[in-house]
Amino acid sequence: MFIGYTEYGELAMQTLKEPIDAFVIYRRGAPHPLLRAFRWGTNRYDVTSVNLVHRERVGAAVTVCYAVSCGTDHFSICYDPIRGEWALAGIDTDR
Amino acid sequence: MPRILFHVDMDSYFASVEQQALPSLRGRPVGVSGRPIDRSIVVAASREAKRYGVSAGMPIWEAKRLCPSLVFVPGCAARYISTTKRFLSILERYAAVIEVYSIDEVFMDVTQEAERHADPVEMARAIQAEFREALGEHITATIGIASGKTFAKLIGARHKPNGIGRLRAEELPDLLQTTPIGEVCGIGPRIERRLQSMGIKTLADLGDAPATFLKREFGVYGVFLCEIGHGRDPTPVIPHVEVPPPKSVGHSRSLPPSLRSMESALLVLRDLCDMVARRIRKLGFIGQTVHCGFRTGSVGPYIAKQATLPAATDDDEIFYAACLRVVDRTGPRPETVAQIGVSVSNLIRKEATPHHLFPEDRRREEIHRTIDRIRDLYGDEAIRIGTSLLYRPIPQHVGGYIDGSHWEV
Repeated sequence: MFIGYTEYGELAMQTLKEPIDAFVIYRRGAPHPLLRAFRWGTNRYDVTSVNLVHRERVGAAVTVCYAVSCGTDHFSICYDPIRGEWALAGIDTDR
Repeated sequence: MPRILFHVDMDSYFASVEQQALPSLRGRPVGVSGRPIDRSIVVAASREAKRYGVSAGMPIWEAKRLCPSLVFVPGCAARYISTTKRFLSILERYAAVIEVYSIDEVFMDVTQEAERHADPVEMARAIQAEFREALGEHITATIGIASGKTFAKLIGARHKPNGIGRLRAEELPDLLQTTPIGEVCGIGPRIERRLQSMGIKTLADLGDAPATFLKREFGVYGVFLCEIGHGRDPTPVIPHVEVPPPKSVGHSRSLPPSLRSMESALLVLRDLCDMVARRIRKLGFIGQTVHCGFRTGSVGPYIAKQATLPAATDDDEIFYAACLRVVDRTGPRPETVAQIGVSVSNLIRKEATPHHLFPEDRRREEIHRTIDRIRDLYGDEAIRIGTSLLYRPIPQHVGGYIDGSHWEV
């Protein structure tokens, strides 16, 4: 998962597996749901840009991974299409 | 009618993908590596890092010396493969004949398709615009346009990053005169030194050399050298649906200091045999010749030998037993091993061979089929050789086992 090291060897992205509520659009023909916002704990984050989407496969299980920005905050979010579960996988702490 | 070929080369690919995914990396020198430890290497460098002289394949310690502010990011293969699939799906709409040269390089024969566009450069601009839209602004490609693959790659490299280079027929003589032979893809440092010792320094010099002389010196490769010396490269674009069958399947691993005893290296070798056998089975082949080799130090020679089995197989245990025999044939077993590898060649299609005669062989085949089915469903880590646990723990994601303390419900 999203781990970067700064010049001081620090982690640039914390790794987590926090369940979240996601606000998405299932657009006809789109390869994956379009993530618009998510709620983590009591906070709501509106997605201002989806930077990259990729798929990860372990055996037959596929996870769709979103790298998104909410203003100046950057998050890694994973979607398990089989379970229909969304999880926060990483936060950029490199400020 | 001369061919129109595109060479599409993604710029600083892995580093660009990371910068696209994580905006805080943008504008900063980034090095993609396995792990940010000194004995590892930089797999890819961002444009900013390249300005400091950091390049792919450079040891981490050297990259840090050249660019102390370099940010190291561990590579994510799934992210790069996913991005490659996306840009390939775009390119497939532009040309019927596409050769996937590597994860970030593609050759396209657009001789037919270019007619639909105003000119090839406009077509290349349209591709770049689609990439920007679909992949993001930070993942860019440089496109080289020429009548041959070698020249498309050559002209593209001169227009990096995010550029378009077109080699017109009238520009070819000048290019041949001014291009050093070492700049051409396919002429490595050894061949370059040999050619230079013969007084051949540019492509034009290569063209002036008699074809019979080049053929005598370099064999079939001399024909290729002769052709590009005259500005011709008839090498076809090979569509990726026509990929030739593999000649060998292999894996090797550089060992961390904790695994450099021969005993530990053999545990790794057992796992490598398992990986090779699984890949061979997946491809539908069986193999008869087992090559095994190791390096005793970071820069020592690679000591390797091979053994031919009585019959071709896809059984990892048989491959491992052959490897042990090969290792013993190399002489006394060394105390330390820095790298170890195995490959299997002499491959034949399994469907072309008869079924096993003996019940034990049929039983083992059934076991392999079952293991493969489990791995196809739950991943390669779901079922492993027991000895691998002696040097490699079970990853957290397997079976929901979290932090070694409790099972995920």
